[in-house]
Amino acid sequence: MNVIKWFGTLDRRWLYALLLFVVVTPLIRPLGIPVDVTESTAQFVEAVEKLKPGDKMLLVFDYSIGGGPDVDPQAQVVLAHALSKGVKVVEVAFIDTGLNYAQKTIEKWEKAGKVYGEDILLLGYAAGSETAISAFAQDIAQVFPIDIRGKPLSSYPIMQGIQNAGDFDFIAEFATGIPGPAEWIRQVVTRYNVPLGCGVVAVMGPQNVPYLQSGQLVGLLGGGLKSAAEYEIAVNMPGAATAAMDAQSLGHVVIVLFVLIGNLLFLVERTEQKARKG
Amino acid sequence: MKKEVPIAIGFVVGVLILFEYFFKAMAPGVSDIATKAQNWGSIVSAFAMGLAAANLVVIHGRRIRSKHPDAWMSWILYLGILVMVATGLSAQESALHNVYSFLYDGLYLPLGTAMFSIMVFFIASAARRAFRARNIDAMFLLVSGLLVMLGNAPLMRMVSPWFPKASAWFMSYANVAGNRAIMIGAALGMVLTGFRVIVGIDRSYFGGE
Repeated sequence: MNVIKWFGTLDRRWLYALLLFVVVTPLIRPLGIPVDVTESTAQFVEAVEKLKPGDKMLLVFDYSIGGGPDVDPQAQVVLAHALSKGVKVVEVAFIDTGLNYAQKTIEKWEKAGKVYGEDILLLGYAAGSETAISAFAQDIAQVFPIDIRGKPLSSYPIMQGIQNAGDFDFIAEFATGIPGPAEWIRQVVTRYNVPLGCGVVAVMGPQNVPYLQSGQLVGLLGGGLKSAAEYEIAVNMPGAATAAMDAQSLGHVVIVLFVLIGNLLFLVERTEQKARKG
Repeated sequence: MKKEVPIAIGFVVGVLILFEYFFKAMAPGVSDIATKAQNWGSIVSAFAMGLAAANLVVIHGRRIRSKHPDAWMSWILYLGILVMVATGLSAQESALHNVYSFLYDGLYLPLGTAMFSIMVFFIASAARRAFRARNIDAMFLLVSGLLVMLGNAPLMRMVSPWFPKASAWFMSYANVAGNRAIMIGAALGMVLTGFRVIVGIDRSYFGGE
């Protein structure tokens, strides 16, 4: 009882220090806690697995810097998986900060030997959120007459046969807010019937599960960094997300412990109050 | 005229986009006009971003002129805008400018992610004080939240395979049922709001009313 009361009076900076310790230690000395692949992640992996060499994927970077650490590892591993299968990837952003993430992937994969314009292409960023997505879906060249390097889209082999969103074999969208899965489903999936897989920050996961169950999404990485780790494990490409899983796992457990102890404290206080009144 | 013209534009564009969405096959020519209208929407949005940047410059100019004690922050903002715009525009064809990359990756990115990461400490503090089962509703919320959280922690699977199963059940059934209800309600609300805007009953985009 006294321990619980002591916890209630403990300076919150000790809690911060404990949490910091619990999160940082496994980053330095990984524990290797096994990660299971959930069904929604497995569905996403399967959708990308089904693509054949030469198929074309649209990769959408709709994420902000704040949610980047949760979503960027998802986009990275999906891109790596697609390119490893010989899938050609066209990148685009409908959030300004997404463009920088996309540009970095282009630099990275060009260094790795992929040919810009043949294997991978970056269209750029279009302002206007859902309106821009709708216009893009109808006629790509009207929204992006040129790519990020200032050349007409028709000059790139990867864009041959691509006029609207319906010409892609798969769309992978990664989002931290609006535009997100709902906007892409409204403007693209329902009209062009393209398979769409989405990756979102963990807080957006639950609200997008209905789209997965209805079949409007073919895969959902709805657990933020954990989904990225699951994907990395499923395709045997362990990376940043897998390395961070121990820290996140322990952090979750510590916060749950805080909640439980806080509730015990609340019960003790309430019992004492009732005893005093009675 | 100040009100009639925007309402008329809203009506025409709204009907055009709706018609194109639902009856595209009946009038293929409408698609081109609708796409152009949507492109104008993108252009207006891009101008809005420019306007926001100009507004920022004006507001901070005012702070500097009035010799506000925090005017030095405004100077840093000006410097930041100048350097990022100049280096952003001078990017090479295949790579970002080195200074731009350095400032973005070394300053903006860590600061942005740090702001988000700091939340974990607020959550830790709130976990002790705020997340309490004060009544039966709060208890349901708390228990389901804790189960989902524990189910998402790979460590808990080692404790019991029941944790991820319970989490999956909550996400697939309880969560979907609640979220579907909210989504359908919101969709009906969107249809109604859209109709009110198109016919000019809802004029909140004028800034009030």
